Amino acid sequence: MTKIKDVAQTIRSKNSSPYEITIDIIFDDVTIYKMVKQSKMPLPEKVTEHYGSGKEYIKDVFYYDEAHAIKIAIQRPITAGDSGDTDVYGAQQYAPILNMEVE
Amino acid sequence: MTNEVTVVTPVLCLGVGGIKTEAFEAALEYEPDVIAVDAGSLDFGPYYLATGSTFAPRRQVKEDLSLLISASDRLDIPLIIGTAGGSGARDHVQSTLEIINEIAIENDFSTKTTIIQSEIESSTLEQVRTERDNISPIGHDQPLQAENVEHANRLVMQMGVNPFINALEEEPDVILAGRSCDNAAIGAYAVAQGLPMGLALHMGTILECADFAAKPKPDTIQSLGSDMNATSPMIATISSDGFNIEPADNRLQCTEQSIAAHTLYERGHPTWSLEPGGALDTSDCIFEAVDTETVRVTGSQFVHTDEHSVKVEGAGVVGQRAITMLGFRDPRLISQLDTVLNRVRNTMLEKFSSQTDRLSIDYSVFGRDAVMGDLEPNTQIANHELGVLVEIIADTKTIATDVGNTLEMRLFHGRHTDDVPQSGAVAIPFSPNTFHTGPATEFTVYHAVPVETPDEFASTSKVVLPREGLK
Repeated sequence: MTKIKDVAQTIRSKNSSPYEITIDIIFDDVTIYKMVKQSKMPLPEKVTEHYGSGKEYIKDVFYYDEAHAIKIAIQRPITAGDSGDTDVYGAQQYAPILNMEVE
Repeated sequence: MTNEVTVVTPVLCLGVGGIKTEAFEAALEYEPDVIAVDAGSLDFGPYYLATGSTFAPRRQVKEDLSLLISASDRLDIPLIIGTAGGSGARDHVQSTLEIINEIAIENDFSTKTTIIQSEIESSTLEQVRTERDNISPIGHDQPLQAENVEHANRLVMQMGVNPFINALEEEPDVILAGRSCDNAAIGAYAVAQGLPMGLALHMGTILECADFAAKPKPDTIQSLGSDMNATSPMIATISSDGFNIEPADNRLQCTEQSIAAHTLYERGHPTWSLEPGGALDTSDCIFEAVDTETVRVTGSQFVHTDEHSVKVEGAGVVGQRAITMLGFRDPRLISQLDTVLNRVRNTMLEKFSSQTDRLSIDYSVFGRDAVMGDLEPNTQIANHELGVLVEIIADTKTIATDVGNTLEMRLFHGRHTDDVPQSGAVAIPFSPNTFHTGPATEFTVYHAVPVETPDEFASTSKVVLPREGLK
């Protein structure tokens, strides 16, 4: 089984606002992008599996063909900068996706 | 009105990382009509807006501005700065104004500067809040209430292109603007020249990150070494049906995919983003390579809404913060970690809550789930060592620090289990053991507010620098 980190060019996360994190998975190869987009298990389900009990925060998955990119919208459990926040920029929230398997 | 405008954006953010001077000189050879740069962001968190502090080193901001002002003077083109001072409230704008004043004095030239403030008084926003319907939260679901306005130490409107367009009519040398949409500060000149809003804003969205949207050419990755990203300029030329974009550094290139991918950077949706007065729709965009470095973008649309709304941001101080760090190395205590930490926290809350209205104690367990919190899928501790960051917020510095010191002594000396030593259960990495980090802050307002005119909350003034007694 191939892992998405081995076929995606860039996997990154950042805040899109103090309340939301956006994850981008960008593919160099349009064939691989199309394969991931059309794979048997729908992507939103795969993503929520990888976030365990945090899956209630996963809001949306989008496809953007022009950039061969997939975008995931996640509600921040803690607003940026509030007490208990440890990732003010939302920069390290993509990590569980790295090992997501693609056919 | 004109056919074409060339814009140079020299760096991702004024004062962060520095500007590559050789690449900047190369950019100027494109004969730009304007130099436009973004100087701030909410990314850094609420602290800077709430307290009026700046993030970027002053020295670097001054170095960058010296370069940019001298270039704009030499080419006789305007320099536009958006979200000055990092957060764009009055104190932030003032800090940049003072730097420009110093540069004018030291280099013996004068500059006509238009200042566009976008800070909103609490009383003004409170009045608007009670009078206007359709104020809506953005990205969350809390309606705007009196206490949100009251608890903000600073409130700003994120301005769109209109205040810049008005300012450009007087042909200033520099426009120094408070909180603005990045793409508006960079795209406004083109809109003022009659070019389409959708293209101008999309161009601004990509340009504002400077060379970030470009990538190393295949054979140049080695020579780039550890050069910091986004510190060399990007150049765009926009006309009525599209824009071309390319990096100034010839070791980099824009590709169809790098520009398409940057269109969705830091945005919640890949093709739709709310802007003052409407939305930018990039769903019909075509990205086409013009040559190995340059990409042409067409098809960006601005969708007007009937009601013109602007985003209002507010942040306030919620207390004083103290932190300590605890090192855990004994597996017998690690196996009881949550029980022990929770017990000590409850004791502290009971002991101190009569002294302070606000009291919160947060633990972040590094080595388990500190970085991701509730999003962390892996809840098993496999490490022999853990670091626990303790964050305390209370009404005063004294109480916050007292809680920290008492908490860690309680952990250090406690009878946690039968076998863990009753003195020395945790490692404390520094002296003082707990330290005050200053005010704790939160975002309190993040709402779309309908406005009567796009400039409603903006106020513009003109000054010729240098000016004596600017402070």
